[in-house]
Amino acid sequence: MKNEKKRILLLIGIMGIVTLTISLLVFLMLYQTAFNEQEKRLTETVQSQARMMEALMEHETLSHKGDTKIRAAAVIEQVIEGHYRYKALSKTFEFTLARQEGDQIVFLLNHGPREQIAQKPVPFDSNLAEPMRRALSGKSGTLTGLDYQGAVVLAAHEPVAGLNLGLVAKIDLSEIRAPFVKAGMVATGIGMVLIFLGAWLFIKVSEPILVQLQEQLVQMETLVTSLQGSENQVRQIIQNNADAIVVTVDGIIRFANPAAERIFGRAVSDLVGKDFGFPVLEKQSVDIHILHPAGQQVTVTMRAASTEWEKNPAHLISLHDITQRLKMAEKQKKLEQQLVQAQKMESVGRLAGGVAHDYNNALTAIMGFTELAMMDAEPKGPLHDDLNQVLKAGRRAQDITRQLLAFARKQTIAPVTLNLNPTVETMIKMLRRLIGEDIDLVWLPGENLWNVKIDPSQIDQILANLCVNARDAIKGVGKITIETHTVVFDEAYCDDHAGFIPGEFVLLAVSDNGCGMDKKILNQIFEPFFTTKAVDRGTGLGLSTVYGIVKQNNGFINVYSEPGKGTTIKIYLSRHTGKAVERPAESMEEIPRGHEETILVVEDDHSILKLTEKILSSLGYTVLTADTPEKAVTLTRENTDPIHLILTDVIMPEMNGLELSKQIKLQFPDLKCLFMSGYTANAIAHHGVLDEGVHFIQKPFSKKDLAVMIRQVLDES
Amino acid sequence: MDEFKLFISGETAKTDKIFSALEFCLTAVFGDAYSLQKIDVIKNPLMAQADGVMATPTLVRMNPPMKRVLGDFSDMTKILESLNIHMPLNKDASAKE
Repeated sequence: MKNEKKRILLLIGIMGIVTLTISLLVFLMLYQTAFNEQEKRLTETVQSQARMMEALMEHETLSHKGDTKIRAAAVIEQVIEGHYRYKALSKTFEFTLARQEGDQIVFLLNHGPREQIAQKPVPFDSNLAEPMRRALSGKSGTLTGLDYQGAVVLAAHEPVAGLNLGLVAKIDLSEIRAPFVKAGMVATGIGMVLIFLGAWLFIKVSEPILVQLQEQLVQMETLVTSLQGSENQVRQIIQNNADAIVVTVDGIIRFANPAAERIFGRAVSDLVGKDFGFPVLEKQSVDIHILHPAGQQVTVTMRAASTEWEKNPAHLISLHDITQRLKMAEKQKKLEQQLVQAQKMESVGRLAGGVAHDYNNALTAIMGFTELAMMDAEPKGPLHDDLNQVLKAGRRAQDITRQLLAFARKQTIAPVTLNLNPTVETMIKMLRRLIGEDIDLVWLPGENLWNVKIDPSQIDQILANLCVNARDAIKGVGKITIETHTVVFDEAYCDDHAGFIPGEFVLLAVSDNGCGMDKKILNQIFEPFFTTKAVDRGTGLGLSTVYGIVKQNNGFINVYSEPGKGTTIKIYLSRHTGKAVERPAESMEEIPRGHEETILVVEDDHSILKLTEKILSSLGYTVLTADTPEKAVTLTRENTDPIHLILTDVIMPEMNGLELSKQIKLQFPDLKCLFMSGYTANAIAHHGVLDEGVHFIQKPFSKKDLAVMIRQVLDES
Repeated sequence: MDEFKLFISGETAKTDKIFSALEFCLTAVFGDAYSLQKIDVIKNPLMAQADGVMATPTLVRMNPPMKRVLGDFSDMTKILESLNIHMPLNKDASAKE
C-alpha cells in the first residue's frame, strides 16, 4: 500500500507538471498574440501620427509662406494640443515626441496616463530612451527596451520627415504581461486544486477497486503458482515414470518421455516425428512387441487414451515393459513343471523303495536256495537246467530291483573321489561291445578335468544305460559320442536357464544321431517303466536309473533332442576337490572259504536266515543264528567261545542292526560287523551313502558275493 | 491395387488367426484387387526397419498416404476403419473373430 501511495503521489506530481506546462504554453501563446497585437497597434499609432504631422507640415508650407521653424512649431503645437484632448489609451501607454538638440534628446510631448511633467532632456548617447534615439536616427520599427524613465517597454518608433522629430508610442511590458500572469496564477491555482481534488476522488473511488484488483492479483498469482506447481508435478511424474509415455497425432510421435528411450531403444529426439501408428484397443490394454533398431524386442502392455495436443486430436499412450515379468513367469512355469515331475518321480521312487525290501528278501531266498539246490542236483540233469533257469530269472529280477533302487536313490553306494576320464576309459571297450559294430563310438575326453565324488559303479550304470538308449535310437549305422568337459554356471546364466544350478561342474555327455524325441516323449523319459521300445527290448528303467543316480549325487541332467536329428543327454556332476583314487580291478578270484571262524547271523526273515546259515556252513564257518536281536544278545552271553563276525540285517523289529552290533561289541571288542539289507536305512547310511568304516552287502546276494565280502571283512586289520 | 503389410513377431496360432481374418475382410472389401504380405520381424528385421515399423503386430497400408495401425487385432472391422476402410454392412458380423 505504501508503494501505491507513492505511486499516486508521483502521478499527481506528474499531472501537476503536465498541467502547468500546458498552461504555461497556452499563456505564452496568448501573451505572444497580445504582444503582437500591441506591437501592431503601437506601430500603426506612430506611423499614422508621423504621416499626419508630415501632412500638416506640408499643408502649413503650402498655406503660410515664411520661416520653416515657425511653421514647424505651429504644427507641433497643433499636435500637442490635439493629444491632450484625449485620454491615454491605457495605464502605461505613452506617446512621446522629441527632437535632438545638440547631444540631447529634448522631449516635446509626453502623452500618457501620468501627470504631465516636463521631461528632462536625455543625453543622446545614454542607454535610456532607446526607441526615441532610433526614431531620431531615422529608423522606423519596434523594439523592447528601456524608455527615457528606465522602464522596460514595448515601443514603436518613427521619424517625422521634414520636422526632424522622432515619434515613439510605447507601453510597459509589465502591463502587457499583467493579465496573463494573473490568469496564469488563477488557472494554476484552480488546476492544482482540481488535480488534488481529482486525485483525492480518484483515490477514494479507485481504492476499493484497487483493493479488489489487488486481491484478484494475489489470487491470480496463487493460482499461477499452484498451476505451475501442478504442471511441475505432472512433468516430474511423466519425466520420472518408468513406463514410456508418448503422445501421437495421426500416429506420429509428438512427445516422448525419457523412459521411452529405454523401451524403444532410441533417443527421444529420434522418436519424435516417427510414425508409431494408430493405436487400437479392444480392452483397457493390449500386449505388443516394441522393435529396437538393434534387432531385439521388448514386450510391453500398451494403454491409450484420447487427448489433445496443440489443439489437434491426439493419443496419450503408455507402454509398460513386461519382458522380465514374462521371462520370470516362463521360468516359474518351467520350475513348477519340474517340481511336479520331481514330486511324481519321488512318489514313484518311494513306492519302488518300499517294496524293494520285502521283494529283495524273497529274491535272496529264491536265488540262494536255487544255488544250494543246484549243488545237490546232477550237473547235467534236467533238474539242474531248470534250477539254472530259475537262477537266471532271479538275476533278471535282481537287475530290475537294483535299477528301481537306483531310481529311488536307495541304492547303497560307496562314493570315492575320481576323475571321470579314466573311469569312462575303462568302460569304452565294454560299451563298444554293447552298441555293436554298425555304430561308431567316439570318445572325447575333456582336458584338465576336475574330480567328482561318485560311486564308480554308478558311472558304469549311467554309461551303460545311456549307450543302450543311444544304440536303440539309431537305425542302422550311426554315431554315439561320449565327452567330458568342465563347466561353470553363474547366477545370471541360471536365471535365464531353468533347471541349471550355479557352480562348478563336470559334464558327462552322451550324444547320438538317432531318431530323437518330441517334446511329449521328453517330458516322460525319466519316469520308471516309460519306454518307447518294444516290449521285449526295454524295461523303462534305464533313464530312471540314470536320473536317480544323478540326483543321489546332487547333480542335474539336461536333455536336448530333436526328432530326426538325435539326442544329447548332459549330466552335470559337482566338482569335488578331493584327490582321485585308482579304481581297483574287478576280482576274478575263486570263492574264498572260511578258516573256522565263528559268525553270528541275525535275520528276522527265516528263509534268508536259513539260507545264509547254509551258505556259510558250506564255506567252512561255524554259524550261530538268531531271528531276533534279543535272541542274538542272549546267545552271545551264553556262548563263551569267541565270535569273530556278526552278519546282521539292518532293519529289524526290536532293535536295528547297528545298535545290536554295538551291544555285542561290548562283550567281544574285536567283533567285525557286516550289514545286509534290501536297502539301506539311516542307521548305517545317510541318503544311501554308507557311513565310514561300515561294511554292507546288498540283498539279494549270491554265494560268491557273500563269501568274498565275509572274507574281506574278516581279513581287514 | 491396394497393398498391405502385416508385421508380426513370430508365427503363432494367434498371428495365423489375425492373418486369416485380415485376408477375409480385405477380400470382402477389395475382392482380388489387393495384396497382403505377412512379415515376421524375427526372421526379417530389416524389412521392419525399411518400412519404419516400430512395434508388432502392425498393419501398414502402403498406398500413399501410408498409414499404419497397431494393437489389438481381435476386431478387424475396427482395425480397418482406422485405415479408413469400411467393411460392407453384411460382412461386419463375420469380420469379428
